[in-house]
Amino acid sequence: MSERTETIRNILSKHGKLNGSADTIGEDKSLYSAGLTSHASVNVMLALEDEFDIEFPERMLTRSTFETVANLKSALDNLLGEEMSV
Amino acid sequence: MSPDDLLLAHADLRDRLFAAKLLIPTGVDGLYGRSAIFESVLQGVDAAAYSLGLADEPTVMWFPPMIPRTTFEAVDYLRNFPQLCGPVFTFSGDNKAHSELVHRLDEHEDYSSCLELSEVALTPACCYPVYPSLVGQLGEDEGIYSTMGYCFRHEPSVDPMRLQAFRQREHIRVGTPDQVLDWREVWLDRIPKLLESIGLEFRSDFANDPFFGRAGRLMSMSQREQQLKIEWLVPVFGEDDPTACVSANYHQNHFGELFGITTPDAAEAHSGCVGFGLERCVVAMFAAHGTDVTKWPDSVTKVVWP
Repeated sequence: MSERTETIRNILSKHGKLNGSADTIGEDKSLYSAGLTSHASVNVMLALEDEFDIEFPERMLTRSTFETVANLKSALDNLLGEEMSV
Repeated sequence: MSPDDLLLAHADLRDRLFAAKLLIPTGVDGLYGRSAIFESVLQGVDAAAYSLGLADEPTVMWFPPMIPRTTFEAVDYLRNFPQLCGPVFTFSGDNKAHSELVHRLDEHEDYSSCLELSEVALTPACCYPVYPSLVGQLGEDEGIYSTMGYCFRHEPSVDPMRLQAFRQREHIRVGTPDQVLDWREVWLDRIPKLLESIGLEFRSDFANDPFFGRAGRLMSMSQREQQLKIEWLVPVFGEDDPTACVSANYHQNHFGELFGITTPDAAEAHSGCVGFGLERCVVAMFAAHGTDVTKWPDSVTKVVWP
């Protein structure tokens, strides 16, 4: 698992209030179906912004950005550049 | 219409309502008295909006224009709409603290730090006190409610369609998702009938609540994408700047989860509400039909004074 994906999962387990474990949910599984509410998605957004010192631009403030782990990862890659492997 | 022209149009309509003595100025934008005629029209519109839901045999509830601060905090009002909020502050200090309060008052200084939060807040939407009253399992014949009352939102404006203190008639459905969505479908037919009967032009559209800040942007987009809010917009100041006079909302399980409301089958309850902005409807009627009710179309007066 990439570092970013791991951070996303950590933040989801802290702020996402998902029904199951955020560590094991499939990257393309709907987080909304797993119990992510609008309020929780706001908290996930704020925590990601804090963690990566970024601000999601308006075009990314949609439901689909927060729909899956993969979408969140791709949004972060878009904002931070592709992840470097170390 | 340019922003300046729009402001002039707002002021013009307000001045006409003042001149006709339909609204009574208090010196604060958005806080007005109402004349007997204004009030009579409002009561007529409310009666019509209430009657539209009578076939559903709603349980009627009346509440004062305040809610417990615990409810105000639980519904996340401060998180979502801090710019509109109206918590009530009061004084609970001793003689010394009172002297300080009076001193600041006499010196025209800010005395807010001499006051403390009370246990109540001004009601932002008149359906809010209904949900916590339903805690627990609904009976088979329960789940449809109607209420009316004063609301407060801190948005001072010269636009007489945007008041700080105003009344809503709200119809509320609590039940399974299908029950709430079916109920909302019925109201999608009823609402245009009412607006037509009082002679207003309108269109409906998906909408979002005025959630605050960047976090609110995500909430707004989410609300629109899920089509949770539909508004009926009346073009009092032209097609480009219509004002919402009625809305139909689906809250999903928000209030059911928050207040522990379950359906007769013990599932978490979903809810929805239909809200009529009564003063907005009435001001829109004066804008459309003129400030002299004796010259209003018969078809409209028959609805208001049946």
